[in-house]
Amino acid sequence: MAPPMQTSDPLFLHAMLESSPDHIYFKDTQSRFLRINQALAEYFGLKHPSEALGKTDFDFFPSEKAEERFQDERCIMETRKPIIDKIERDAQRNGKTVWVLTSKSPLCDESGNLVGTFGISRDITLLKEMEDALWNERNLLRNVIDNVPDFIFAKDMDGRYTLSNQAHAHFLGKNSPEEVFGKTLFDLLAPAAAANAHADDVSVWKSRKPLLDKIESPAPERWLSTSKIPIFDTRGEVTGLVAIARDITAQKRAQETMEKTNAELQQSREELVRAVEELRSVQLQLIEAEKMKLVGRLAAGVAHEVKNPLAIIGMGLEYLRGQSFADTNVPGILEEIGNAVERADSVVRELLDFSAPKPMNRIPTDVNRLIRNAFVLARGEIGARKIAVEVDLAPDIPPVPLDAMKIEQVLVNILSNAAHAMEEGGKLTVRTSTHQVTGIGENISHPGNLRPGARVVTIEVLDTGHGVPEPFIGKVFEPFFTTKPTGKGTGLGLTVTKTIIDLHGGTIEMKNRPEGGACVTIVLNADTD
Amino acid sequence: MKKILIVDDEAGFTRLMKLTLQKTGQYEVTEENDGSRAWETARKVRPDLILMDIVMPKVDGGDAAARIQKDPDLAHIPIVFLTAIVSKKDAQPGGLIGGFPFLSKPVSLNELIACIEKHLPR
Repeated sequence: MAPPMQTSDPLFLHAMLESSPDHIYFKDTQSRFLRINQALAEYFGLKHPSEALGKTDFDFFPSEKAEERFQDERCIMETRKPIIDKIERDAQRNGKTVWVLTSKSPLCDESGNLVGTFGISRDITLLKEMEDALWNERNLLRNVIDNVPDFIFAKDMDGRYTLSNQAHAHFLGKNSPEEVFGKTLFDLLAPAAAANAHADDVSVWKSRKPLLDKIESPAPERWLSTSKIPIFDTRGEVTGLVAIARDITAQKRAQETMEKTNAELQQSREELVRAVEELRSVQLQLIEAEKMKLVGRLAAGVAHEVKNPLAIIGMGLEYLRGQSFADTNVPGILEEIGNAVERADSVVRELLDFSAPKPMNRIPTDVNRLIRNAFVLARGEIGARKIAVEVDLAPDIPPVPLDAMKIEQVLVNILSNAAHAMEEGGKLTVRTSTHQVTGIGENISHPGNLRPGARVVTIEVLDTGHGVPEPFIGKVFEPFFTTKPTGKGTGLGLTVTKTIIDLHGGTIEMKNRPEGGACVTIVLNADTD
Repeated sequence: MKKILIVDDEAGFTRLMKLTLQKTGQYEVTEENDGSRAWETARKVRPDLILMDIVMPKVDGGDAAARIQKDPDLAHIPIVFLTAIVSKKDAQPGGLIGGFPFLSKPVSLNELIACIEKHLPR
């Protein structure tokens, strides 16, 4: 077995000196090289280490650098204390900067007498450059983090902030990120807001997936869009999260303002559409009124020109009625002529009524009472036929602002029509009800002047008569339309009826009932405005 | 026998009315077919009642009636309008037009006599 190697063994010392890539040197008390190793000789540009003997740093380095080292060695010898791991910048002759890590110690002989210094330097240029690059990178990142307006922060698994930037610190009411470090959400936010944000943190940790663009309001009147991303260690374990949040309060307010403006615009548009509809309705009414004026003038002219000859015929008939005739047919012929005069007169009278100006006297009125009155007035028409009457009047009908005489006329017309449709008898039903309009097409078939929200009263008159032939059902309110036999109806009754309902801003429609007969539905607005 | 003056531009109507009324034996009837001559004829005839058309050329029934009413000698004579362009629904309460009773053409004999008798002075 080989004896243990002694550190004073020249072979060992030689091997260490010559094989070490570090620079090793020994100097006397005057800082003159006693010995350097091969690596340092090469660094100095010498062919052999012996060429350095008796030389100093002033022979190899700029005087400033050489002086600094000389002073360091003076200090070591005076204090007998080493300098450990001093980082030094060497400027080589070729101009290249080299960084070295140097340790120097006093050199003593076997008796302990100071004979000089020795040292070892390692070239750390590469490490130094890497460190600088890393520092620059960190510095850049820190600058970005501190200067972006978004909030950047990171937390450990206990929810403690490990990173925060200036914007984030300010949002939390702190002067600097340092005041945020180590604190949790619950130290900085109101309990409810902290609990919400913490729940998101836990969700990110558990799911191990990012939570992106979550809109949250951690403080009153403040809105953030926050993304949280889990942080993993080298083993893939979640160790915390990093987050970036953007203050979107201004956008949120702008959005709210825009939504409000949109809503107002929409409302304005609806009001405009309503106004246009009303204008159109008024325009139609004006056109209708103009037409009616013309019809009125025409009717007056027709009345004058027709009724005068009728009066002459009528008076002639009166004269002849008292006479005796050899021809026994004459009295019958005179009777027929009399009936014809009456029919013609009836048409002209109704034409005058139809075209006459209709001033309205609308006062709140009990519709149920009007219906009972109308039954009294139409009792002749109803009583002359075998008609069963059923009246179902709702007790909660509100008063309706209407012209009682005109609506009574409407009701009498409709009851009489229903009676005429049941010559062989039948059943006549009249119902009233009230409801609020929820929407045209929903609980009311066509608008008239009715608007959603209006309180309306509905009158339904149902008969079991012959109904109206389906092709004509849409024409029943047109002037001179009638399903009655010639001479039995003028065709103006339902037209007058519809005109009156229109003037009240209501609606009227007639439908055939599936079980036979017809149903007339009148809807009147009970609101006073 | 009561004297009736009929003022109407329809000559056929006044002639037939005259014949019909006179046939009853109750009335003596004078016709006037020109509204502008109504007052003059009334002063001449001094009727007990005047039947007056409203729509007439030259002077209408309203003006003619007003002129007669302004004459102190004639103001007491009742005037009944006869009209083709006013229906009963247009009348004032009491069946009046401008304060006068009226009949709508065509009119039956019974209706005409009832109206005359109602307004003749007793």
